[in-house]
Amino acid sequence: MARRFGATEEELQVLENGNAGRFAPREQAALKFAEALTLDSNNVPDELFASVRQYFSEGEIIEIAAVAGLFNYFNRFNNALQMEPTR
Amino acid sequence: MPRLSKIAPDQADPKAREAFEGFIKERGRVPNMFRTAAHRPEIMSTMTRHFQTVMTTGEVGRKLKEMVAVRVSHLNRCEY
Repeated sequence: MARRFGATEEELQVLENGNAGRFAPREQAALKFAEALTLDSNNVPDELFASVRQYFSEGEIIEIAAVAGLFNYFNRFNNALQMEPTR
Repeated sequence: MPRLSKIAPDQADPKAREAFEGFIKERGRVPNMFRTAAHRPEIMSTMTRHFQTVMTTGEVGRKLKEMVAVRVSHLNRCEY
């Protein structure tokens, strides 16, 4: 789906490698926030959240947190049930 | 090997059918996750509506939302 909405193969590769530095600062802030929310949600650093606030409105932060939260739900659901990817 | 069975679109409960039809219209098929969740049509239909709302409404661009989804899924070692 990411390809359909304009992500290039290079961008997808970078996402898999976790090197957010390749992206624009606004995109980096969103990606790093999503990473922190996924890996240690009680400890999202204040400096990281400040960079998110710099680029996004409160409503936009809700959108990003909702995408990251929803995919954590879906990923856990699919992993535990050993869901096969839809081909 | 998946742990639960999938519901075929033509076997879906009426409560899940609208969501199934939406996927078929948009992607030509229903993702396995939603076919499986259709064992509980109420959950499957709100799951689908929430997914659509989160991904298609608001002001953050769809591409960035998709990139966030890819990054999170990779961290969770979920290839789905």
